[in-house]
Amino acid sequence: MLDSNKEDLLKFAVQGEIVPAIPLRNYWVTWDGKPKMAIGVGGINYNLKVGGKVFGWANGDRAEPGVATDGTGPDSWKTGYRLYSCIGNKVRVLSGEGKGESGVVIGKHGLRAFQQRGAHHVLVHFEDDVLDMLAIGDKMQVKVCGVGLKIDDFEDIRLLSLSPILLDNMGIEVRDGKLEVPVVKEIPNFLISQGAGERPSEMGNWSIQTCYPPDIERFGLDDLRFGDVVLLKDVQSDYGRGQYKGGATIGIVCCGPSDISGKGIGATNIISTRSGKISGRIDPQANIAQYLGLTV
Amino acid sequence: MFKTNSDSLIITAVQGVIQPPSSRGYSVTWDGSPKLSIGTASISYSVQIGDLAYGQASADHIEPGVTIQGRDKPVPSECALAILACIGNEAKVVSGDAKGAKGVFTGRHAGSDDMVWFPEEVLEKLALLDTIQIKACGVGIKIEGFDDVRFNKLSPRLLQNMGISVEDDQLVVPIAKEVPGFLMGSGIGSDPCMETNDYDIQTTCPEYVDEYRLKEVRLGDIVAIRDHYCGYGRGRYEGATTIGVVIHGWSDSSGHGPGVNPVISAYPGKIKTRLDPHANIAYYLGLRNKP
Repeated sequence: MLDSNKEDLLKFAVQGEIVPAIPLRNYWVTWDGKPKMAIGVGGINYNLKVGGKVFGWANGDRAEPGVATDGTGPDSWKTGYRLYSCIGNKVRVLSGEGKGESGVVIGKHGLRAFQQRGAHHVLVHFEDDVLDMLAIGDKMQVKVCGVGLKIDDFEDIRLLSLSPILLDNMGIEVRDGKLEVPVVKEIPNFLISQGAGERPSEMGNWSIQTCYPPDIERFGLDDLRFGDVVLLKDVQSDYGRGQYKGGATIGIVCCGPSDISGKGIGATNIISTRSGKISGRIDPQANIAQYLGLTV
Repeated sequence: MFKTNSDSLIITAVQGVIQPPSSRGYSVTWDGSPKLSIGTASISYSVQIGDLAYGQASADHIEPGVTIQGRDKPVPSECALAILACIGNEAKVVSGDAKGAKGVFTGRHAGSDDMVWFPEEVLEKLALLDTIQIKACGVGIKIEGFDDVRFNKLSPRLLQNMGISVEDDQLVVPIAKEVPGFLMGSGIGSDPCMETNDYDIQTTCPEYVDEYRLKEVRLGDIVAIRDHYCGYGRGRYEGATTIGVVIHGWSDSSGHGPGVNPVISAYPGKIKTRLDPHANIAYYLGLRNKP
């Protein structure tokens, strides 16, 4: 296990609620100019789960696993919820039939962090019996822990939206002065698209484009599962996201593919470097469901 | 040469007002430094279409000329100006000391801003919040025999003056620079509505900046983006070519850089390019004399 400053981290509460699905009345337009009634962003997705395949869902477009939540109250409170929640943090249900039950943060999906418009979702996993008790609008409280997390002797590595429990369980090893991270797949930079230019990196996600169909088979994108750990090559996410030769970002798959130009499979960034100090070790089992002990 | 359907295009009025600049204090650059950025909105007296997109002190996303925003909807990018105005359309000042003066629409910067060029003597008379009206014309424009090529935000005037020729059933477009698709950042994957969005050539990796000589890019340059198709949205398609106009300047924010309005896009085999250092709308639209 890596040495980190986890004993120094603040633990505090942020509050949100389950937000509804956000279909577009006028259809999305796909990369090749076709109308699409997309489904899967927002709400409670009963049959999309961490550990499950991202491809193959009818009309799915950036479909999210589990329960989509967002902050409540004034914009600044919402920002706190989106910014501070970390993957692996515990979530307590505060209202409704599921009151008192608990879940786990499994990803962040959203864009245009600086705007209030659009989706800014903190995704939460609940076991099936709890899922059936939940309703849109139910209040949630996240016990936040992870902001400021650092690995000893890797001061220039940025850890983002990453809880200490996930960091400890990811099987990361130090080899030749680099962090060697078990990953399901390495993604070349020319597939990595939306998310570039977005900041702060603690909000939202990167996208792995699926709008050029031959890429899907060529890079095995249809093997990916929600919650998979992937290595995004030659991009950095230190203080905002961008292409960076020699940089690397570790991401957690947080949403399914898209037929819209420049969009695709989402990856919530959790570890970033500009100095080349991250390498991947291919492990088909590198998924947060296993690391966080979630039923799949 | 080629024939367009310009006689069948609708010409309609759209309007905006000169937008005052604002600031949120320091932003954070790609390498984690604070920066007080300047350059968006307002009237730019010192930077115009045809100038370098790089090198102005503290500049970020600098918008040449005059920046206007629509007021007919609460969000500027949903206004008629944002959707219908095309590069090369005629602009007219309809209020204030410069009333009656003419200018040219030069592009749209996704967040909020539409940009208009005016001669220097007109800039001196303009005031923030003056109203500008554009004769919008270009939506639906096509070149005969190229129905599968997508044209966007392109006035008939610019299309005619870009030096495009036809060779072996392909359009040959003069370009000032070629950019690989992977360098395209902020704006990629956003709203499929091509008309309202630009996307940025990322200038936040020094190695790529040198490799692709991005400090040479000029405002108004015609550029080719390789392996990107921008018919409905902006994204990857191997072998496709997108032709764009550089509409704003450099940035130090990760994933940002000079913005490009895609104006012509096609699947592989429809567009060829030819390097021409003067492939810039400043010359094509008569905003400055060719050296």
